[in-house]
Amino acid sequence: MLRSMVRFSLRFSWLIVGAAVGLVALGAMQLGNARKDLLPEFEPTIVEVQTEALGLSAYEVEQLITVPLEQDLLNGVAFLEEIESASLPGLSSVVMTFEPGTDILDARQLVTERITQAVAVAGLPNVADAPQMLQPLSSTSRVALVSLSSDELTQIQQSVLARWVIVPNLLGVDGVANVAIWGFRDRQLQVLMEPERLASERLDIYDVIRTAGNALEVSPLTFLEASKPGTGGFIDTVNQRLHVFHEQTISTPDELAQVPIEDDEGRAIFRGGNPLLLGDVTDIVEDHQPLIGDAHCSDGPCILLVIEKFPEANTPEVADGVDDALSALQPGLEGMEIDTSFYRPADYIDSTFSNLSIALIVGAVLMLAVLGLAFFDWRTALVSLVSIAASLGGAAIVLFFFDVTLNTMILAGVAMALVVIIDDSVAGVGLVSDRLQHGRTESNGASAGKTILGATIDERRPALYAFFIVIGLIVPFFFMEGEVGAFFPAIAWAYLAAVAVALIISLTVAPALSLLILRNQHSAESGAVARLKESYARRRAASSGKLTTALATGGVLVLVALLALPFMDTVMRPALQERDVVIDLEGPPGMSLPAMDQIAADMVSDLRGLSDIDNIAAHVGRAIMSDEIADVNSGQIWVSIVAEADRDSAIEDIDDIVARYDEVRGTLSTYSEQRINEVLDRSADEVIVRVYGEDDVTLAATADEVAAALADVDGAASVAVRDVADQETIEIEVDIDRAQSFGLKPGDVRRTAAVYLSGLTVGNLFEEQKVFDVVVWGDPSIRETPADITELEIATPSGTRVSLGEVADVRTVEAPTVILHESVSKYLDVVVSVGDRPAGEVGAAIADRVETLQFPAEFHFAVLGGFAEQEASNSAVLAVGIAILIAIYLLFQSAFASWRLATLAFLVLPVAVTGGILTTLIFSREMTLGFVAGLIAIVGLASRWVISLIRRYQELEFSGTEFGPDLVTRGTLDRIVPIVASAAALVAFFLPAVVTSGAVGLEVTGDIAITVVGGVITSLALALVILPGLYTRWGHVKNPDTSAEDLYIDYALVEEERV
Amino acid sequence: MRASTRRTAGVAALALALILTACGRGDGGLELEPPATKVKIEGTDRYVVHVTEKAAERLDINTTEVSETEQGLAVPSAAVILEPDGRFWVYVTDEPLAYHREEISPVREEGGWAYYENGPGPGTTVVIESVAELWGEETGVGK
Repeated sequence: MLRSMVRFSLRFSWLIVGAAVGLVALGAMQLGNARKDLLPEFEPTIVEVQTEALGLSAYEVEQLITVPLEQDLLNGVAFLEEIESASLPGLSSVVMTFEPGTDILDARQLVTERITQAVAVAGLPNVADAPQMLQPLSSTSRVALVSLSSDELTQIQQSVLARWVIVPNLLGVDGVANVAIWGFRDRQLQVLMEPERLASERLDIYDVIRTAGNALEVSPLTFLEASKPGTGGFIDTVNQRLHVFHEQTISTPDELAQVPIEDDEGRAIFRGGNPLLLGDVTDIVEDHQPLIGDAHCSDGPCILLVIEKFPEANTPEVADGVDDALSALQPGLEGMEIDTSFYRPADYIDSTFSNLSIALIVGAVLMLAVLGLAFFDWRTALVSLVSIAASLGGAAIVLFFFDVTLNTMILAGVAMALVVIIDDSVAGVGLVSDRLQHGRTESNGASAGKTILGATIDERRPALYAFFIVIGLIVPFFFMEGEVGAFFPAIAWAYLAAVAVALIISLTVAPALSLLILRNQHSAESGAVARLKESYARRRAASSGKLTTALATGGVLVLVALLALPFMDTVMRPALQERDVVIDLEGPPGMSLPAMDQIAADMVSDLRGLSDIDNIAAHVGRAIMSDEIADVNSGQIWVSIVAEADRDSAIEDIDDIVARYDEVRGTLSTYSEQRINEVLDRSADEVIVRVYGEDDVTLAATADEVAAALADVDGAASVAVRDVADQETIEIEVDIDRAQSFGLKPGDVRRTAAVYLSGLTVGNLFEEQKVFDVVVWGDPSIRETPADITELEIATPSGTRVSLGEVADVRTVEAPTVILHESVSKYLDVVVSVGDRPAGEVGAAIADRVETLQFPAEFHFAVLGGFAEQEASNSAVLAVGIAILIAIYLLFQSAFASWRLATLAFLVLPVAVTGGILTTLIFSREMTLGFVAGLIAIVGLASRWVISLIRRYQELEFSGTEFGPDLVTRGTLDRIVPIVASAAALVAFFLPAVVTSGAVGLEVTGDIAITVVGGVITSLALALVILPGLYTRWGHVKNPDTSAEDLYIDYALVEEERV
Repeated sequence: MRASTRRTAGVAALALALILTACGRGDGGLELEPPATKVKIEGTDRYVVHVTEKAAERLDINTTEVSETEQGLAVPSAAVILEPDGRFWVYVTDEPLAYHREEISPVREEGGWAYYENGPGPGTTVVIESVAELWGEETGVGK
């Protein structure tokens, strides 16, 4: 099969070359159209359902919204792996994680089926907005931040424009999934009541509600007539149909104030001949709703739009689309400044590609120079270069064919593949060139075609075996969990695709090009090559005790590498050098919005003073349908590091400023780091006993019991109950007896208090394609302090005035800030951090101990911890790893048809990677994804060289040469040119990446380069010194397996052809 | 000619004939006159609608005369058409098969009659059926 492919390419060489050029051109063109992003999607399939309930406390959100949703509806969804929820003031968020491999659309459909029954079946009370399923979002969903500010427009006016004009437009941009508005102040008409004023006219809140609601065209309150607005109807004359509509009369506070009060019999109240108006007993103003969050920019308060994208969206395209949409809108938004200069991942992606291109081009030039000058003539170097380009072009097309989004991991995989690609081209073409030259000098009449065919086949067989070895090495990584499991598959697939393409290119394009370009070369062997061969031969002849040299070199390398390993940290997450930094702020639970706002504003103005950062934007609390599930005591400040500034020192400066603020805890990270932490963080050195239960007090007591019981488990370093933060909350409990004496029921008290404190939407205004709320609320003066609550007046049936404090107890209590559920149940975690014993054993011991405890009714427990998944994946990896090692050993065996040689090759191979370990130790001391990728690439390279050399030795032996040091020397000399050329080419190519590693876009690829450069050098030592030495001693197979001879029939033929 | 050549010529002629026929008038070759045409009245934005006999028959255009009553000039409500700008119009005719609009105001409708003061005088022939079609022709429905 291989022969026919090569033969075909040789015959149709021009066609093949044309196709190759086309491949490169197509690949280059496609690069522009490809989707690009920073990281692959690493989040499992999740669906989030959020329900907004402005004004509801965490406890009530849990009781009224989360519990019905979770228990009745969402718990039974198919393919569900985990269901977690958070209930916080004003928001219920239920997050469902599905089994790996579940299609996102299937998951969403299953959830939708349930959600539509929310009100009907689950009985969700009419106290919140409808549950919303959030859009599918990318793992790193934020793609842009846009600030809106204005000197002329009020924040309410800006909010209205944002909500009704800007956001709908942005949602239409391709790739935009969601836009959340921080600092949103909705325009409302507010009817503000004071009990005194109402009482003076013998009115109560229901009169105001009724009047305000019925004054409008439409009301959501079913007990008002306005909830059935009726339709205008139409008149049919003989000739025409005339439709009737009612123009809205009321749109301003003054107009609403003119409405006469309606008493509970629907009649107006007259005072001295004039009707009593709404404006006489209340204040009607235009204002905004209570805030759940706010935004702040470097110039002052602003409105912040956070734009999120779909999974697999093309980040640069989305960013451009957003920019275009906003500039199209700008002319119509006079007086509003729109700033899009914050958080631009698209810029990072652009830098990535430009830095990588530079490294690629400089590397290619260096490589070309090295090859051309030292080894071959320029034409041979050219053939290599074109083959490499064709391989890259082909790889690009394969990736685009599978609709892969280009990201740093994919690019790292291609970089890893370049090791193979370069070796393929250089070694393959080198061997061809070498043979052709010998053909010339010996003038034996063998046609160039046959020579090329023979040389290519010779080179391909080792390559095939090496290909399978590398595939085997990659397989275990697909079984890993955590960060490696999330990111490595992308690297692996890109690598496999590129290497497969390279295999085909080396069988088609390289021979064809060689035939066309190298056919008539007359140059003698290059001087450098001749010198190299000479000096090697001399050294081999000279050094006695070649075996000891070999063993010594190998032994030393392996020893040093093993010693180095403990000094290296394992950091398997990609640490992208983004220049956008996020400061996460967390204040004490219960901190107010104005206080948090002030802190954010102060910090922003402090940060403005730093010269190495700009583009500062902050948001506090949360926004509707946003990605922040937090109360007003938390916030984020987004900061960009100026292009010219040093990243590390800028981060230090920011840190200094943040540290000055004692009242909040500030953490710095980049957005992708933050997201990786949220999704993938599993600490393997903790065992968690999760206690599930119903009521808080018993839960806390039980958790304490468990903690006490575990304190003396062998291996437990520390045991603690993870606290749930509490905050001061006001609790109102109606006293039934006292209420009864006034004719009041608890519900009456709740409803009146709710209207005064929280407000009630009584209707809507429709204006210019926008919808606004009309709200009846208590005047701010009666709801300023906790004491005011006690004095709220409750409407009684008899008309007697009574204050809330007279019929209810008002207390301050500690209540949870956020109520978390997992598997539909409240829980508390008892965290045991593991000391000396392995986590698995400690976990088992803990499980045993806990089982002996008595749990209250409806309580149960589960033992969790990253260790559980780690254990499972470790055993899987181990099992697969062992299988793979056996497979590799067997591959060696089939390559050489000899068990002894297979053992030799297998044992000697690890020496190759020692160089990679040492260079990584020198440069970064961190074992990263790039490090692992580089090691795998080196193993592929070294195994190829080892197989190539050993087969050459065997082939020489089979064709009659006597076994001995000379055979080994001659065999090595036959292969020295491709190997050394390839090594030199690789080092030259990856050198720029080594020098610039750590630059934007070169984090992972730079690590690969560092590892590869070190590994190439030790592989060279392996190939030229260690293997020959060991083979000389142990390589002689006295009674060769006859089947081995079959292996070499091809060689025999080739030899005949050559000679 | 050879048989095969004849056959080819015959097929070609047939094909040509069919093609020519298809390229011909899609209406089957009959010349239709439009059922109604309009002529602009100088100095106004109104038109005189001229209707063919056949069209008048199909539309069943019936007329009556403006009558004088105590409440003012009267026409049946069926004669009245209301324009988007709020003005009321009736279609009057002084020559056969030619109709044009006249305004009537102020209009009070009661019991099937429309009463007005300013507009066509008593005895004027007004259209009471197919008013909407005339109006559609004048304002250019579908064009």
